[in-house]
Formats: sequence, structure tokens, C-alpha cells
Amino acid sequence: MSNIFKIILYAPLFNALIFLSSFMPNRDLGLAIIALTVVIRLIFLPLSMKAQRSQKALNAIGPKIQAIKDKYKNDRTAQGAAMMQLYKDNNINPVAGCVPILIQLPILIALYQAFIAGLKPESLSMLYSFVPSPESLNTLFLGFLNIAGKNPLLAVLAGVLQYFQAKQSMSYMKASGAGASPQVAAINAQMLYFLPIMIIVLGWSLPAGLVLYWITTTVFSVGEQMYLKRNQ
Amino acid sequence: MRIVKFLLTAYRRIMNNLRLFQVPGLVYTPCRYYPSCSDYAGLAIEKYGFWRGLTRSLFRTLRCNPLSKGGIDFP
Repeated sequence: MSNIFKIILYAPLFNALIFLSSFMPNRDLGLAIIALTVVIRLIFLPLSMKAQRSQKALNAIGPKIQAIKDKYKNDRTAQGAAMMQLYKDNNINPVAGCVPILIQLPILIALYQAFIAGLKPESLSMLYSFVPSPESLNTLFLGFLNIAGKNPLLAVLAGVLQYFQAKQSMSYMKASGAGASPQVAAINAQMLYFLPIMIIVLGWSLPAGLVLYWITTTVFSVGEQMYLKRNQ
Repeated sequence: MRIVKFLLTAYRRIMNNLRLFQVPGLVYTPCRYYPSCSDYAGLAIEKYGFWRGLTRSLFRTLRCNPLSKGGIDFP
């Protein structure tokens, strides 16, 4: 099982990372991490945009869904029928389902492992024959930031960006929906601060290369939502 | 049974937050089926007991893919 995982996910991602680094100035591994992250986000972009639009529409009718649940508490058939009608009336067509989420998880884990492996010279033995093997890995991002080591400053930056991303998302997801109950609003406000703090605490002790990945993917999310907001 | 209920509630809370904040890294796809897989699991375990309920929930989760039509599906 772990072998299959290595062959179909981990090794290809690691090879892609080293391959991309060969195009970067000074074989900069940090730039390669950013590039690989952007490529993966671009692959998932169509699904991601559809899912977010669909989720926003669902959030907007949240109170109506609850009303139907309460109204037909004991009649499942009626409950289901009313729900489907509500979806139809609001043009909601949920995309994809659970399985794509389950598929994404191993990809994400493999990506983390590939980044960590990319920061260690001994993992070069995993390279495919057609990927040119570098003599050494350049873990000095932009010539001054060692991404194999820890970097608290980068962790703080990731946390701050995470805060803005979460805030932006919250306003997008609820923009057209009815106000949440005060209790829910309070929990949401707590989460708004909890998430960035968690990112900082985790990022503080992780290699800066992983934090760089998180910063890139967060910035990508911000851009994506700016686009969604403008085109809603 | 109580542990299962607790886990399902915790899962729902976490998913709600991940969806609301769209925490980067994953694409959070909304439910195709009604009730959602986690609600289904709760109902199925209530109806069939732990193991059979769990197995049914597992197959329901696998049914929830881009090829399925979704819709109403109670255990």
C-alpha cells in the first residue's frame, strides 16, 4: 500500500519539483515549490470555483433548509422532496461529491512529503532517469532565505495571510445569506483568529519550505476569491 | 454509540468551518445527496447497528462521486 502511494503520488510529485527547479534561476528550490503549488492549484481551479459558487448558494438558503428540516421532522419522504424542490428552485447543483475530497487528501500528503524530501539531498536517488539530477539542491530561496531550516518570520507572514484569506472567504460565503445566529457568529469569530494562530504555531517549527507552500496556496486562494467576488 | 455521535458532530463542525473559511489546500465540494453523508451515517447506525450501519455509510460515501446523480437517499 505504501509502495503504491510512493509510486503513483509521492515520487512523481518529487520528480516534478526537481524538474521544475532545473528551470529556476540558480536552481532555486523555493521558486520550484511556488511553481509546483501554482500548477496543482491551477489543475484544481475549475472544480474549486464551481464548488465555491455552489457552497455560497447553499449557504444563502441555509435558513430555508433548516425550516424544512423542522417542518417535516417525522416525514422523510416529504422532507427529501421539499429539499430537492428547494435545490431546483435555487438552481443548486452540487458538484463532485465526497470522493474528490477523499482523493485530494493523499495528494496533499504526498505533496508535503515531496517538499520535505526536496529539502534533503539524500532523496535524489528517487529521481527518474530522464530528470536531470542536480549536483546539489539549492535551498537558499532568493539567495538569502534558507528554506530547509526554520523561519519564524515566514510563519508569522503565513498566519497574517491566513487571517485575511479567512476573513475574505467569510464575507464571500455569507454575502447573500441571511445573518447567522449570534452563537454561530461568535464561533466563527473565534475561528477567524484560531486558524492563523494555529498556522503560526505549526509553521514556527516546520521547515520554511513548507511554510512557503502554505503562503503560496493562501495567496492563490485570495486571488481566486477576488475573481469569484468580481464575477458573481 | 455516544462516541460515534460525538465524532460525527465534531466532524460536521470542522467541515462547516473549513467550508466557510475555505482553508486553502483542499477543494471543499458540497453534498450531492440529501441527507449528507455524515447525517446518513448517524441515521444508518441508529437503524442497523454499528457495523452494518458503518458499512452502509462507507458505501454511501463512495456513491457520492461525480458519476452519481445524487438526490434523496435515506438509509
